[in-house]
Amino acid sequence: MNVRLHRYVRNGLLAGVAPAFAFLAAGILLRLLRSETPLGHMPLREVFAGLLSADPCAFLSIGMLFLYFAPGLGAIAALVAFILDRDKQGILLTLAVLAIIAISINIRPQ
Amino acid sequence: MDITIPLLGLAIIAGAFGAILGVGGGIIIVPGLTLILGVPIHVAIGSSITAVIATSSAATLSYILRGYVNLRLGMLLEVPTVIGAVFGGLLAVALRGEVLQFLFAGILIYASIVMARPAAPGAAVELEPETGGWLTATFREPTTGGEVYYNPRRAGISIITSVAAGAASGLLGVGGGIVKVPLMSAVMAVPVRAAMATSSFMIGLTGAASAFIYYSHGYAPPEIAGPTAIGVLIGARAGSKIFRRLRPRALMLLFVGLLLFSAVRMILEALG
Repeated sequence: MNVRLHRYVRNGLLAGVAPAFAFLAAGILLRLLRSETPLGHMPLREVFAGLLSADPCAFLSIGMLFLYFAPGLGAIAALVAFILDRDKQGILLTLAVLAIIAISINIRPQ
Repeated sequence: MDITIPLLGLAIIAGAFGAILGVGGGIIIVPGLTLILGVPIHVAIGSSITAVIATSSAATLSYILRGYVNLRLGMLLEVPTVIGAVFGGLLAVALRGEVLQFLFAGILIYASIVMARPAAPGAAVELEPETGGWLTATFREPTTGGEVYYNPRRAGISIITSVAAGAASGLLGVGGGIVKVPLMSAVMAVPVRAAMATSSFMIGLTGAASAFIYYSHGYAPPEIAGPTAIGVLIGARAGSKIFRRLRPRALMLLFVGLLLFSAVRMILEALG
């Protein structure tokens, strides 16, 4: 087992997962306490303002975004470890995976 | 009535059942959301993908330092899988709900057949150190304490199959473990423990690729996807702890019956 590679991926994944679960849990708690607040898809610029006003939807949205980015953060950490190991195949494959995810982030409804 | 508590309850039950029966939450949560709570299927799939990322990430965190995850193999298979997932996600947002219900019913029937079959003995494991092979990996088997060496084979066939697994994941919101684990263990001769852990790692990346598509199209609303993710995660953790050694055949067959019933209900709903 490549200890450095596995440790890096764990730390990268944790950097996304820990805040994701914290925001999601806070969002659910706020939702149960303030069920009258409006629901629905929230644009990113409104999410930050919503966090300041303790809007449950903002907490849930930011938690979901952290969660969606968590596997990518694990892959970025793997890329760093592959670079340090001078593992060319690992670098190319990880870059390809990250590039496809980056494309999917930029796909918008027609 | 606020949907948060029923959602949490359903998701916890789905997560616990998934952990007990060794399946991902997707094949339980999508029919649960659509047939019990009346959630539109696109939203159910977007929420299921969110839950699948949560459970696979949590599982990876618990496995990764034990060396079960073969990261090189995961990255190799993830390139075609993630391409399939993006196409699957794009196709799903373009398809009508009735078509997705038909396709999901097909996945439920496939999962029922896989689960109803008696478990096949695991692939033979190489116990001698392999040299060479970029994909070769080792881990310590907890039941024997011995070091397991293995060298995955037939990567070419598996790369092609991975596109289909990714497409199914992006299209229907299932993790794809029901395809990836048998593929890695039976075709590539990867020990089942390593296949399951590597599959968990891959499922997170695959899910992330299609999750952004569902989110940007408004098919992963936070008030549904958020509680679903947390509920499935809580249920999966509880289920795996309480029932770690419990895989009763009767419960499995009962569950297969439930999956088939859900498949029939979905087909009937699609037909209107």
